[in-house]
Amino acid sequence: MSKRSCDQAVERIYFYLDGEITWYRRLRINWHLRSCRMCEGAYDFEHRFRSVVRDKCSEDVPDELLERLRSVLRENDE
Amino acid sequence: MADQANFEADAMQFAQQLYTAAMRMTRNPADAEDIVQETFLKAYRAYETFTAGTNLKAWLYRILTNTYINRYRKLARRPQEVDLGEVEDLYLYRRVSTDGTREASRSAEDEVLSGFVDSDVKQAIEALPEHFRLPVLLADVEGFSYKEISDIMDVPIGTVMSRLHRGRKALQKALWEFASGRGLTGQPEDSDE
Repeated sequence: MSKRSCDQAVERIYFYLDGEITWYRRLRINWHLRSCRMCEGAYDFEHRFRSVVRDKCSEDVPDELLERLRSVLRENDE
Repeated sequence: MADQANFEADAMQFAQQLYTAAMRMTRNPADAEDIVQETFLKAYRAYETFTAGTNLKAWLYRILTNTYINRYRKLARRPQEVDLGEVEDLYLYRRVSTDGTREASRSAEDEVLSGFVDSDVKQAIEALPEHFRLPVLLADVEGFSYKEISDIMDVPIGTVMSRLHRGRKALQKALWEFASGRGLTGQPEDSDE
């Protein structure tokens, strides 16, 4: 696998995962990933890592806050 | 133009997400509750300026972000912020992938990914300097596009991209350091098992 196509794949990994890339570049990356285990592994890992971050930093909103928001909105309604 | 009478029905569904973002911004529940409440009140009062059918979630986040910046930026209690020097690309991946088969790598990766606990992730995000923390939160936790983040934070899209890029690498480094500090990700050769 050419070093240059690996460098490009790594450089564009976030644009790809963010969906902020042209269809043509996406196609070229998909092509590269099919034949490069290292880059395919990296893309897969970054994708899974992002789900971990999202899942593990979520907070339960306190019921008391929800109640407070509703009552503040109603007070202001009058 | 949006009808103020619908505000509660339209906006309450975002309360949980806004509170999560507020917690990562302010780093404590009392301040997070305060800015969420202020955000709802401001949004309610300005609801007639919101164009119905456009992106309500992004509009609420913009108000939340401004509220946070105006109220807390100067007062923020800052924990030790990570050094945002140059961090290599694929920082975490390079530390967890093995030279073995793809299956072996995958199981080593799974072990690390599932070993991170909520407090590691929260602490790592909160340790990022604010300029980097906000775009990372908005993109990776909330799923906003570059353009939306640029509107929410009122910074050019190129700035969003570069902060996001550096912020993500710094997040991986901080997370690795916190988790290593707990002994979770000790190098296999250091392990007795």
